[in-house]
Amino acid sequence: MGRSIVAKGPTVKEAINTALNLLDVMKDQVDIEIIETEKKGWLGMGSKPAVIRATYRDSSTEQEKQEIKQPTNLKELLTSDIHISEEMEMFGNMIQLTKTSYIRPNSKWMDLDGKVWVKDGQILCKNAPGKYPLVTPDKRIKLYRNHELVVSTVVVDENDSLKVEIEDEVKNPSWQLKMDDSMMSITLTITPGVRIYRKLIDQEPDTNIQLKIIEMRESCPIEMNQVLEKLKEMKGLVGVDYSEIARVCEGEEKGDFLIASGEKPVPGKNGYFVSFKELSIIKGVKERLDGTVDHREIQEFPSVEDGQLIGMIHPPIPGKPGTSVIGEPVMPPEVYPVVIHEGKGVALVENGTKVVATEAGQPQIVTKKQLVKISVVPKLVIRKDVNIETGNVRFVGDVEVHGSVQDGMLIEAHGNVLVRENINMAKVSAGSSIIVHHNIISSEVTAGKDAKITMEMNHLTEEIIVQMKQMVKGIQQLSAVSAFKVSNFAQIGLGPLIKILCDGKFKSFLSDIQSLVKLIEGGKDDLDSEWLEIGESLKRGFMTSTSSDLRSVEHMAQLVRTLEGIQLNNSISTEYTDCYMKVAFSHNSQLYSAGDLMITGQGCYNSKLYAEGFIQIDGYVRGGEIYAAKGIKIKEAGTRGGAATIISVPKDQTIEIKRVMEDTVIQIGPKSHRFDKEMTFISARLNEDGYIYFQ
Amino acid sequence: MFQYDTINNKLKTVIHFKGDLDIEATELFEHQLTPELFQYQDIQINFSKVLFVDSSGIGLLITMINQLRETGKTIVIVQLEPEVKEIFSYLQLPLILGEEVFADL
Repeated sequence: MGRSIVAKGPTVKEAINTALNLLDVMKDQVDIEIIETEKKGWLGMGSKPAVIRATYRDSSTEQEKQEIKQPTNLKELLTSDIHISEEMEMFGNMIQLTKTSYIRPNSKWMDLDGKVWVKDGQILCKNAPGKYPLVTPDKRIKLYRNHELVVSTVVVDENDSLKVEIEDEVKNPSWQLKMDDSMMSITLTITPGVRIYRKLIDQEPDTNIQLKIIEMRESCPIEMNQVLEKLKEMKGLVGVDYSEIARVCEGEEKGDFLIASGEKPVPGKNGYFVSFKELSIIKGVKERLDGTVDHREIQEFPSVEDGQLIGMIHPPIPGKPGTSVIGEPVMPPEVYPVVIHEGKGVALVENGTKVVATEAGQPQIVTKKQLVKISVVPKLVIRKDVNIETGNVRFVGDVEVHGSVQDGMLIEAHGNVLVRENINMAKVSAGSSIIVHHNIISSEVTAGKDAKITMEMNHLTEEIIVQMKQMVKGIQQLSAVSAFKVSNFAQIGLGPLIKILCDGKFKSFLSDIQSLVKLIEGGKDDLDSEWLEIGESLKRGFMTSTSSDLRSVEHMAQLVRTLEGIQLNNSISTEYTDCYMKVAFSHNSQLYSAGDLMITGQGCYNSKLYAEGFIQIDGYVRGGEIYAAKGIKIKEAGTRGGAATIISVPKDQTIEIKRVMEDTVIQIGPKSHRFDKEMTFISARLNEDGYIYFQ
Repeated sequence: MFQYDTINNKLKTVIHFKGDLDIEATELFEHQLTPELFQYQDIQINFSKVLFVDSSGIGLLITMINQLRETGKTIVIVQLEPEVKEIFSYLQLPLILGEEVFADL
């Protein structure tokens, strides 16, 4: 058999050239057998070189003592074992030889002696006496020398079998479709995949080389069809954004993507009540810039005649249903009609769409969510003076006196009181506000008697709620102790336990309950039925010593909730009945207002004024005492050498006086100040150290 | 089932409570125990065998002790089980009955 050589090359042609060069023969002197043609891979990956066998025909011409042995099989040939060649003619090609074969080095490549290099992913080296080529592996490269893993720099020999293992990395993309609970949207959550290919970098011959790799990344798109298939399974067919799906499947973006959204229902509108515009004109109420009502503008209380329309009830407007992503209808939030709570003096007409007053008086409209309470507080009109002839006036609604209230007479009204002239040596009290167009002389006038009671009830209720909540919590804690038996609750209720608690931890609780129940019973003619009911519940639950009708902690918790509801309701109506007193002039009188108090005329002389709100006096204050919980503003205060004038407010409020005479005393919280000379434009309040200072 | 034993010595009377101090004990408390205790002056109630109480039982105890003390007798409660002690302190019994009643609370 003639000389034969197997050669590899990127192409068949180059492989042949290599073989011819190595054999140092002409092409017509050899037989060429193509073992394998080259394969072009992607980016150099998966490519295979062409393999040919060249056999020299004339064996007699064999001059050099070379023995070339063919690889036993193709498989051996294609393994990435590194075969060391003694002779390299071309770098562009690699000679694949078995270990036992060798080619004598050509003198012109002597500079490769003792060097090692990397070509086409193969490590090659050449021995030389006294020179030891060194290879250092990279941590991502597994280098096997003679089937042994090499971890640090090693000397390589051309007879060594050198093999490298480089792992590619493939991370497949993952995705998930999720429909939200309301079935209004579908989200595609993507964790993009990636393929990382690694390849040994070619290196020039050197005595010492560090193996290096190059990485190539490639994205792995998501199969859109699979996503669509899944979407079909989920029945997600409405409002699907296909272009978005395509975009995010192709992209390398990680995250949640909205790929389908249903059609949202259009919410409707609840029913509502609108009072007639004229009503607010009649009211004559003006709001200040800060939203509070300027009572100074009010000359009359709002009123309606019997038969007059108070307002209209608008029915609810239903919304439009939407569609979910699976094509099911989605209902809009339910709409509710207004519930009209017909109070006294009110009737519903025209199928309950209109509210009409059946009595003349002051309309009262209290709105709480969908509940509207409308009533007409009746009005008693006295077209002349209140005197012996008319008798004392006691009335459940408003009272309007066109003349004066004369000596020794009494007016007690649950609503408002309007006196067009004077109050002389009389007593007037109103549940709500009072307006006196002229003077109050030597009289006692009280505005907001009801408000006073409401405030007290609110305060008590608040206190009771706090304590009951603590009680509920306490009983729950106690029940958690296993030595404490709760079985008797079902038999005889919480009574015995409440008694023990009230004797110990909650000492003030029973007296608060008693006070509240008393207030409720006292005002049962005016109070809403819910108050009367809660009063009964509190009485049965807490005031019957041991036989409480509260059977469980839940029962008590329920009572707390009811109380909270009532209190909320009550605080709304307190706001509404925000009362005030407005008087032109006061002389030798006592005025009390649960809200603001205004003296709009000349002023007040030797009177005692007390207001839970703000006091404003446009005229003078000569003598007497003035107290307002929310501040005082006076044009002129004090007398020259006359009776003492005392003006006081709580510690966090301000007293403003345009002109103050000497000997006038102001008191702010615990501190007082007597003016020793006349001053103008003072505004006094406490500073941080608790002393009165003037701005 | 609630029971009690009375041990008399010269100095004081020791009552051992046994069983649950609950609503079932009402009859025994009102018709037997309270009248019996009115005979003695210095009374010690031992609670070591009382493992469960309920609000009615505590109510009975409070009523009885208050009645006895009104007639000038001294009463001390001893050897409360930890959980019963916890319930008594939570309900502030020392405040209601007086600290001196609870020797070890």
